[in-house]
Amino acid sequence: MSAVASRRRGREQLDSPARPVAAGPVKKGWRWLPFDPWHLALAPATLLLAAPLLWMLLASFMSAQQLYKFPPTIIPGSLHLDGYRFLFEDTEISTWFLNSLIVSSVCVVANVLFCSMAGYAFARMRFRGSGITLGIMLATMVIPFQLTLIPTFIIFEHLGMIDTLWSLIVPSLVTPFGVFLLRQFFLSLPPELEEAAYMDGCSRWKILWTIVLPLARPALATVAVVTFLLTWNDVSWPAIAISSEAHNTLPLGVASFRSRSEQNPSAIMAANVIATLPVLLAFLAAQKTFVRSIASGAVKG
Amino acid sequence: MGAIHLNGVSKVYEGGVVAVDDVSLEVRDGEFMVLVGPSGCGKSTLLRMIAGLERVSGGQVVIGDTDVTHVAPPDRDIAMVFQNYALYPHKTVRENLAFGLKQRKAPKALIEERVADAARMLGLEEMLQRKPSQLSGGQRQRVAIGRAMVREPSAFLLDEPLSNLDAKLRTTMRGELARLHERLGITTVYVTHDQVEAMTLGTRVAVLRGGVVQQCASPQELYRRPRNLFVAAFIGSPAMNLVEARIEGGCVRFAGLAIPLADGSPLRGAARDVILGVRPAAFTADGPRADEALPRIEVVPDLVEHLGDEVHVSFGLDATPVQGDAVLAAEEDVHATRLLVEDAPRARFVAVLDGRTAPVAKQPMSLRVDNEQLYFFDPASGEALGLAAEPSEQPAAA
Repeated sequence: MSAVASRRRGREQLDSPARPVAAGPVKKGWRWLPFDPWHLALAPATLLLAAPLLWMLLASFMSAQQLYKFPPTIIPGSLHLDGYRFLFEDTEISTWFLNSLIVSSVCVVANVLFCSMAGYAFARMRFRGSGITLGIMLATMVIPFQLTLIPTFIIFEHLGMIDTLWSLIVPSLVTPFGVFLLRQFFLSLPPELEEAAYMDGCSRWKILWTIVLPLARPALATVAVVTFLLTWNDVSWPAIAISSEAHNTLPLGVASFRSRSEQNPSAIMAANVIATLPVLLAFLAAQKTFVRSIASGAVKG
Repeated sequence: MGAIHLNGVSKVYEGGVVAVDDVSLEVRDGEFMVLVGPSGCGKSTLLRMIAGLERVSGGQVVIGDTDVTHVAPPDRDIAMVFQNYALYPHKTVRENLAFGLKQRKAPKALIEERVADAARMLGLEEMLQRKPSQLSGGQRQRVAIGRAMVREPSAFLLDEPLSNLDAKLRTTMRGELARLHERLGITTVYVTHDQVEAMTLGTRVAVLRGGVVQQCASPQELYRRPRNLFVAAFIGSPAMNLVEARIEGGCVRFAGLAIPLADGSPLRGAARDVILGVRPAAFTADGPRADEALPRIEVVPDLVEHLGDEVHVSFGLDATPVQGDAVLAAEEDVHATRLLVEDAPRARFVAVLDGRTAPVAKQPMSLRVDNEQLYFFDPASGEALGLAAEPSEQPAAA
């Protein structure tokens, strides 16, 4: 008899005594499973969440006939690239993608940079009116976007930025959410770290760059991912600020293209795949630090 | 070079809270000065003012021959070790040690040499590539000290550096700190609330209360000749026994007892109310080995604690315990637990006896009191009266 088998038998003998089954820990009954029993509940939930994404991906490789077939085909018999071909040949999706990439990237870099500077100032520097300024900044978070839409439009029209990518970039260079999140994170860092660096001869700038920001990587990743998601997926403001097709962002382009391509569902799905892919990649890239940041926030309260 | 002079230094926070009040103190070159006191006494604020991390509201801070009151911390040529070590978590031990010199743009060869020296001296050679999270508390402490050492500053400032360590490691590190200071000979200012640390490490100890230096002297002097009630109550473990008493006819009277004053006592002719202080070690168990010339008292121990070398015997006496502000402030930190079991308005006494004696709780016993080790304080001001003279200066007991 192998050692494993004898160990298992030994364990069964230990478990078997007269103890009633119901009184024992629930886990014991699931010991034969090679994984945690919770996975039995989590796996279907994951499938449920992933189903729309999978369907989108599969549908993008189907023809219109396969898509309209009833009962629907889950796994297509053959792959069709018609949707993708149509997108790249008959629309300006490359331009839209590039526009979105420019807007989102600039906003991510700007937010990480400016929010960390503002957040650090609010967390650590004492200046007249800092409390009121922070309060006013946070108050802007509760004002719905619809209320500021028209004034923002008027301002950007006066600045001559309407229908340019600047009109999408400038309003999102700094977000109160980012400033607040980083401020809270910086507050949780022990001030002695900065004092030690100060005594070691660092200036404020150097403390921020060499000590504080490397330690704030999880929070910075959160700000980066959230900013990317918000700017990449934004449709409302681009729909108002952008009128020429050459300046469309990807979601805006896809939205306008969808309304005139109802006969080409696979192209719509392909466009959605292209629009979703960068978001997924951004999340996956920052996932480790992003999740760590959420977890640390939860533990520290 | 590394002497520190504080001339009338004050710190007043917004709202008028005075943290440090007109402190004048001289830390001599190469001296190990300990600032000790209960929580909120201003000791850390004073240290931070020397470091330059806290602005000085009034007075002058001089390091060496330079007035550094308005000089930024990096330019004061001092290094600080923080209570929580403040090691940079994302840097290795080597990078942590080298950081200060790097910021000062020291030559690479010098940085490497100093880091290697510090690592060798502190036994950190094996862990130079590790991050702080991979080190134990004691190792982190060494890195923090090493980081201060590599800069070869003119003074070290240490802010409760041992308080995060467990009791055993604290004792070990205490010894190592003392040895390190002896070897380096750098002026050191050390803040602690632990009077045992203060007494064992300090060349001199400054006892603070409410932002005011109560007494600054050598540990022996603080213990033997406390200037006031607060210092008397704060220094010594177990703490000094304090009780309201009256001096009359060459005796000090309390709880129905009359203990004759020592021959040389300047208070022998006085007739006044006082606060009497008796060190726990001033008691000895009566017996064949006891000095029969010493006055004897009868007590009933209510708690006996055997610690091996010594026995702590607690007993109550029918006298009014001293509960002045000074005593409560001193007890807040040191003996807070004792107050939890204070059940009656009786004066509680603790005697530290030789471990070979075998007192039994609730069994009456006789104690001899060394009347040369009695301390007297003014009940109103708390100032010491006729300081107990050093035993060597005393005439032979009658």
